[in-house]
Amino acid sequence: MKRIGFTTTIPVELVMASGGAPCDLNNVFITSENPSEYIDFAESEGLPRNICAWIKGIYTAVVRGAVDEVIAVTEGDCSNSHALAELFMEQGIPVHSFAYPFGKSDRLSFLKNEFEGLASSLGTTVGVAMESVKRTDRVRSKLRELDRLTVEGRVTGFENHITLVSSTDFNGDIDTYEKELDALLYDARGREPSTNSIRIGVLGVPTIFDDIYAFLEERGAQVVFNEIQRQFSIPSTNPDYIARYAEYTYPYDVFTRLEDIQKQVEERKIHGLIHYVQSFCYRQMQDITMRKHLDVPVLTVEGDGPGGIDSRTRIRVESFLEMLEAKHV
Amino acid sequence: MSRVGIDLGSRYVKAAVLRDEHVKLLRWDTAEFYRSFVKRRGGELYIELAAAGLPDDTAITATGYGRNLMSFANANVISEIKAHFRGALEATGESDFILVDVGGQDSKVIYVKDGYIEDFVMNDKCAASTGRFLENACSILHVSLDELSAMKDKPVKLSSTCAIFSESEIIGKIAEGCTTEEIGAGVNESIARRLLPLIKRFRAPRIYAAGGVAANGALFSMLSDMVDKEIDILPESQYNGCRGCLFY
Repeated sequence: MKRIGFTTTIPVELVMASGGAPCDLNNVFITSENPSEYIDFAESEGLPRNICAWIKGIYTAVVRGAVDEVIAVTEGDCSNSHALAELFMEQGIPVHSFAYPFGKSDRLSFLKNEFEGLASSLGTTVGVAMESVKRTDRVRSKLRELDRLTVEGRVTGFENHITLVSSTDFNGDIDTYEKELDALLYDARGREPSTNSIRIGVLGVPTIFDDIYAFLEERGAQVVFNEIQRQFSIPSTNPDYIARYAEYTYPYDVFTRLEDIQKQVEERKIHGLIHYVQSFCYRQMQDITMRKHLDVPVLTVEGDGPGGIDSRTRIRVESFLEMLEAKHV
Repeated sequence: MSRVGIDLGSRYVKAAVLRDEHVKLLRWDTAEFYRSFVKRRGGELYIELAAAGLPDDTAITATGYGRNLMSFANANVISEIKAHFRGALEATGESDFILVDVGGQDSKVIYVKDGYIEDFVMNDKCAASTGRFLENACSILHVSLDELSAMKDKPVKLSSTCAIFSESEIIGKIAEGCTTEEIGAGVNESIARRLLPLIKRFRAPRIYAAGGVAANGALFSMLSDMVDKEIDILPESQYNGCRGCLFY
């Protein structure tokens, strides 16, 4: 089975319909035994120090043969993906491209073209992919339950993070993924809700250091919302398959994301938000807009390379929780 | 029983001792403090106040850099943000203000609204907006911190984003023939420029400054011009954190 890698979330059902095994390259990098070594290798190959660690991680994953082909997302995510795709092409690695639209007016028709283009490039059709959609729909509805249990405090922020972030490729094997998800749901339904009183939402791309969840919980907080991870799980239930990707907020403007965030803050009764930004990522600039539009306190946390959170970030997070506790709880 | 608030800074350890309603302020070099007054017994660290001339039954509240790296068996440890916030709250009697604290290795801006911490920001990753950078600049320029604190005219532009590279830049400016005063003013201005975006995030009727670097009049005068608002330096500004500890 051909392993098809991708640089960020794409309609995974098209890959499944083509008979390929989907593989989110970000996950290959971050779940590897030594992610820092992936970055060292990419830098030794000449990738600049001042580009984001994820790009370097993906580079190493691909050139070391994690996948047979790559889908590069050329709009709606980092523009470094363009040059990254060129590096792959230069090394003879087959590259398909996929783009999310920038504008709002013709979002759906643009996406239809892109879906058809990618399907054809992979040797399938959108029609054939509808069979795979039935399969993923069953899992996606369970992911929505997982998210509800997170809001209730029966699923931890970390469990929510890791399960949703892995739904971009279902770890390359949807049957095993579903079994593990079933087991987690079964266990979680029987748990007592967390008694941690500070309700936190985590915004932004998934953090490069995932021990932040354990740290937050140790300090009395409960993560009830992982913005982008939830989006990665394509939470829309729109009967039109392609329209779900028009409602998926991640690749679009910050205002589209803000609408979703504001709604979730209210529904999930969130006291404070942690906005994670990746060093050297263009999304760092969106922090300015987010802060202006959000009514709950926001702590911006920046991460660069893999590893645990540094002591300065710990101090900042801890002080943020103390502040929320004094004000709200 | 007496109480003591201790601020374990990166350069100095500051203490406020409250006894019979009187506060006495003390200061030690940080490395010296750890060597003389911190002891390990049974796998735990203790602050030995008797060695510092204080009664054994003194209740200790401590804060400072490395709060997460170190805990003391005989002290209540609180975050720096909390300590500095409370120090300023008690010192000013105000409930809506911005506090700019510039210490040896970090800068913090705390936004206080209705008597609570509403938000705060800290410099990240680099010490180029802190006291350590000023000390290094003084050593290159062969001037004292007091002398540097008066330099504010015709600042040269220092553009490096990194404290270490800025030091090379200072050497370059000396080679170009810039005067010590102009370079010193440039050093002060570069710190003020780094603090500016941290302060501009917030709006409050008053701005106060604390921390060792608050003694640098030139720097805060430049910053005050940049934000177009008076910045009041807290009395004995270096001791704001340890004074704040006394209230927890």
